Amino acid sequence: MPKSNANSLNESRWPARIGRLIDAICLLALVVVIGTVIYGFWLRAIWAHGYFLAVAVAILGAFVILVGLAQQAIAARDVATWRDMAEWQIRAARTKAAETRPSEAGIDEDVEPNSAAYYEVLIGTLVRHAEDEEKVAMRER
Amino acid sequence: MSGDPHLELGESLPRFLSHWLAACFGHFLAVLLPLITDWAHFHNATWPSWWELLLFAASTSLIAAVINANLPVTPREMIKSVALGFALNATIVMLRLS
Repeated sequence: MPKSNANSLNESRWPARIGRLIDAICLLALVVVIGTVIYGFWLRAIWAHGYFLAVAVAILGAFVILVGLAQQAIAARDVATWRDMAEWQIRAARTKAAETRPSEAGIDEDVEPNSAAYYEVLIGTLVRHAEDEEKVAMRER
Repeated sequence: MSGDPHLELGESLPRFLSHWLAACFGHFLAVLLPLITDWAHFHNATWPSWWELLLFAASTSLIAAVINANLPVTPREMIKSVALGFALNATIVMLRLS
């Protein structure tokens, strides 16, 4: 996908698949580290009995880290779902606009996604759609 | 901004806590690896009590957590915290501060 703004944090020179692969490898490394620490505490606990509490604390910490990671992943997925919903609504608005004003429908077909103009058109469409809905609601009342 | 955690930098308490925990695990790894690789000779060694070790790890890992608090909670960033915790412990061992 061509990118327009070179300074944005959005930029990534690596394909998303490699990013996911690195994430998976890092997760594996993290799990290995956590497992090694718990195993080490366990070895220590065999000789010093107080260390069973350290084992418990380490397991609790590992649990908290994994829950945090999962929560972050769920939050990212929810955001993606919201974006999908917005785009779905915009597509519906476009279809509606094409039905009512066939002459204007083809204007923004060639606007590139991720460009600033795309979001301007997108917000414009949303606002127009909301106004249309409001008018319909007023008329129904 | 789309809300993707990779695209947002900013400090927050969950990020701070996650990276703090990860750095603690790095610290423990540095402490415990000799035990695992050579554990037959280590069982007579004198060890600090478990809560001393825990408090020591927690205090040194605070530095790592403060530095990394603006990173998102992803495996890729957590590994960096683990490495920083490991490195802080190694530094302290080499300087014989503990």
